[in-house]
Amino acid sequence: MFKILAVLSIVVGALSAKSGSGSCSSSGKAAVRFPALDKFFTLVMGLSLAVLTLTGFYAVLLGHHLTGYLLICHTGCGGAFAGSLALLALLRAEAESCGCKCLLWTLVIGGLGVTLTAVVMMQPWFGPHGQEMLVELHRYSSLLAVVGGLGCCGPLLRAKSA
Amino acid sequence: MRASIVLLTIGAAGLLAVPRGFADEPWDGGRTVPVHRIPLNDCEGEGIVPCMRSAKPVSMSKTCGTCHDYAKISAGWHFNSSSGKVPAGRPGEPWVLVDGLTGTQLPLSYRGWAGTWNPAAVGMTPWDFTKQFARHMPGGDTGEPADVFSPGDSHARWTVSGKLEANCFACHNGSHAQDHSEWVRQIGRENFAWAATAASGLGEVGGMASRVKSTWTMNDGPNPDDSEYAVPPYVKYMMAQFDSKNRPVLQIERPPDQNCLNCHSVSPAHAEKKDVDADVHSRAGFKCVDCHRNNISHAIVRGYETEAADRKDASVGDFSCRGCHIEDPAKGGGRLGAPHPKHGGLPPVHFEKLSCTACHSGLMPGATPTDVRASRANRLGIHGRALWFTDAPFIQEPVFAKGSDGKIAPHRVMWPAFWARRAAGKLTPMRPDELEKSAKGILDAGHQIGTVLKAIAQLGDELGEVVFVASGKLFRANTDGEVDLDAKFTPPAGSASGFVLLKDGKLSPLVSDFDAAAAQLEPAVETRLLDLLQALAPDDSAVGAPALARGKKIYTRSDDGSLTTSDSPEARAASVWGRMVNEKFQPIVPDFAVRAVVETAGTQQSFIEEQLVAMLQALAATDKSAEFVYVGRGYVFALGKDGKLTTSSDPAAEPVFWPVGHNVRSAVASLGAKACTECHSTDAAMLFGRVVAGGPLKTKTVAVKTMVDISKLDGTYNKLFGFTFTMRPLFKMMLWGCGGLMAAVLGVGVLGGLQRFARYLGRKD
Repeated sequence: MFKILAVLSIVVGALSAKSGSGSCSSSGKAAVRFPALDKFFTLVMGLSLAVLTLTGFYAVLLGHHLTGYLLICHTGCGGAFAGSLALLALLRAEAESCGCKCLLWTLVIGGLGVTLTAVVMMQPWFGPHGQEMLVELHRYSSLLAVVGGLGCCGPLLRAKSA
Repeated sequence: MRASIVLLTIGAAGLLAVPRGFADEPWDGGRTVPVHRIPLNDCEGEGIVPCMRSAKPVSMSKTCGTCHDYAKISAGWHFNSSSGKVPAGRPGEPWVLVDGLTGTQLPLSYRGWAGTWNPAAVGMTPWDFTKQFARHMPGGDTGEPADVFSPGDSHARWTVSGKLEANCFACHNGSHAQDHSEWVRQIGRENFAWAATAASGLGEVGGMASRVKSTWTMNDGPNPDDSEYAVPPYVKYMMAQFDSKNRPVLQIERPPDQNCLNCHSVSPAHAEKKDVDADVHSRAGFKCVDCHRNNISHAIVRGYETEAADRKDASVGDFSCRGCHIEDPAKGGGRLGAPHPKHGGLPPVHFEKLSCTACHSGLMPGATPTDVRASRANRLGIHGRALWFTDAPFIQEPVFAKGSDGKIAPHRVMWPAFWARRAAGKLTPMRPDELEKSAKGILDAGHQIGTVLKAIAQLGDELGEVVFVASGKLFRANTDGEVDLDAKFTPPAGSASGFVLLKDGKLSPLVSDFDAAAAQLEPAVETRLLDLLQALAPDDSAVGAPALARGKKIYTRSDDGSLTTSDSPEARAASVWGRMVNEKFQPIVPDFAVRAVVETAGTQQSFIEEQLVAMLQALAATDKSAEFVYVGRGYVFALGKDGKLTTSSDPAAEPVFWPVGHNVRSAVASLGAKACTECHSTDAAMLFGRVVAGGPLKTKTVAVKTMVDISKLDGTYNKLFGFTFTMRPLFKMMLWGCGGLMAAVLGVGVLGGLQRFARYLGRKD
């Protein structure tokens, strides 16, 4: 089930990237207070999301556990993703485009989900069953993040200051 | 008439029928152990009359077997290793053939476990095996051969010793009189058929089957010609234990832990008893047999995770760690109401990669594993005047390795050490008895010094205790005829060395200083010399007459008891004790033997490379067509073509592993309970602990492996992964911060949305 949704999320994300881009450009430009910072964080978020998608979905789609160097890579990029997304959300909160806004909120909700599940898994609060549930939540949150991220990245990268 | 014949026939058939063991009938539900006030039977099934001098020992098959199916029981796990019919299951502790003289520690098993040798492959017969290991066996197995005449085994003496039947008392006797040490003594005397009776406390067993002629049998009774040495085994029953019908009350019960621990104790070497904790289950009141259960088949539950699959019996799985502790909704929890572990914060991958024991069993890992002693390997739990336990074989714990189920588990590990013949790259181990002749004079360094000390001590010297001093170390004779280092005593600088007297903390020479150049020795000195030379006279004259060399003189004792003085080509400042071999003076203990004793003193090792080379040369001289090698410390040592020592790797030199089951530690004392960094750090003992090959040879060529090597894990990755944990607290803080920020932005967004929605509703109104 998750494998299908994962593929679907990438497809939907790619489609929304196209429509999101159009939406953004048709409504003018996204409101950006610090264009250089915005670009930088967008780049970091986009790259880290790409690595996270590749490492995370690669393991899941092939039926493997995320272990070894992939896990280190995934975890390291996870930090970069969470940091850049949080700051980007702060910078882009006032985006004018409705389409962009929807995609951004999707990305933030998904990002919040993956961040919280990741950090809660590191706390001694949940046993094996709880951990498995958190992993599932992490995975499904990541679908939202992928859809939102793919949709937002194109327009956000081209965003200029308002 | 016909009816009478039929009735008589039926009656006779009833009388002749083999009595059915009522204990094999279906269980009636009663949960008590019945009182065993029963008559005892001997090996011929005859009732034992304890007051008779000719009474024979108790036979388990004929006494317990009257009610319980002895054939089924004696095919159980403790008795079936040599049958070859039972799946070997997870590797267990091998039997280890240990010999201090030859530096042998050879893992043996009939079960074919990895790293072990089949006893038959090294020339051990069932008789040899029983003689060697029955001290920690509950009888049966190799001790109960189908044919006591043992064709093909000329030195077996089953007809004298009797069979070593499965000893029900070894496990089931709850009496405090059950004496494992007595069992061991009887095994040593080859009183196999008497051992169970003696160990149970039912009777007192005397005599030694090992000393009587091979034609003697139990039915022959006492030896009228010898009441001192070759006394055949006999038993005197403790009459107070029998009632008027010759029935004792046997204190039969479910096996108490004490009986299990006679053969299954493992403790850190050199630890104090008070410092060693029991298994957490034992502390909670469990008995060993609460989990290690069996029915009449005595196919005891071993308790490992894959046992149910191995035995194709799902019920066995109930008594593994998971069977009791992991919640099974179908059963409303685990077995025995065991607490369900929380494992808070532990990613599920741990349960796929690690066994439960990895975190919960055995000793906590350290930079190097801890040396432990095990009952069967190190001969523990035998009490008496002699010290039975040995430091060898050198077993270490915990060493993390992948088990047969692919999960990493703590293991005990032993590095094999043995002499072998090598042909076409294949090694065939040699037994210590094959090596004894060659080893004499080479590997027995400690014994050589000990023999001299013992000989001189026979003088009952009032001048002090005879000790040996070399290289600033003092050695005393021990009860085994070897020497022990006295680590507490450091000889003062410049004090006498060699064989000297110790009194009131001061060392003095065996013979007071005298002028060797003087024409005549003082009478007291001459008498002293003669006494010492006589004390040192060997039983075997071929060894050479004892002598003392001093200055340019050599002193010997002539056949008529007078002192003979001859000239020495070499001048010696101090007195040196020696022997005259082919009219040449040789030190009484060769220099290499002194070096060996000094270098190995206070270490686990017993011989040095110099002795190894000499031994390999001696073996080569016995058979020039064969190549001889020594396996030890993780390598194979051989003599190269230039006569120098060479080393190589070989699978036979690799360590033998067996998983640790006990002691189980409590949850709070488990590995990783304090922090993830107990395992995930750049120097975690579980991953990067160093396992140094132990063994009797003192050498610098020693195999060293890290745990990741042994577990076949990626060391670089685990270092890197461990390193990430140094930043994990910061990482978590950052993630919390980011999450908080995202949540705040989201919250503001939601509030903004609500505000707009409210405005929209207001406008609509």
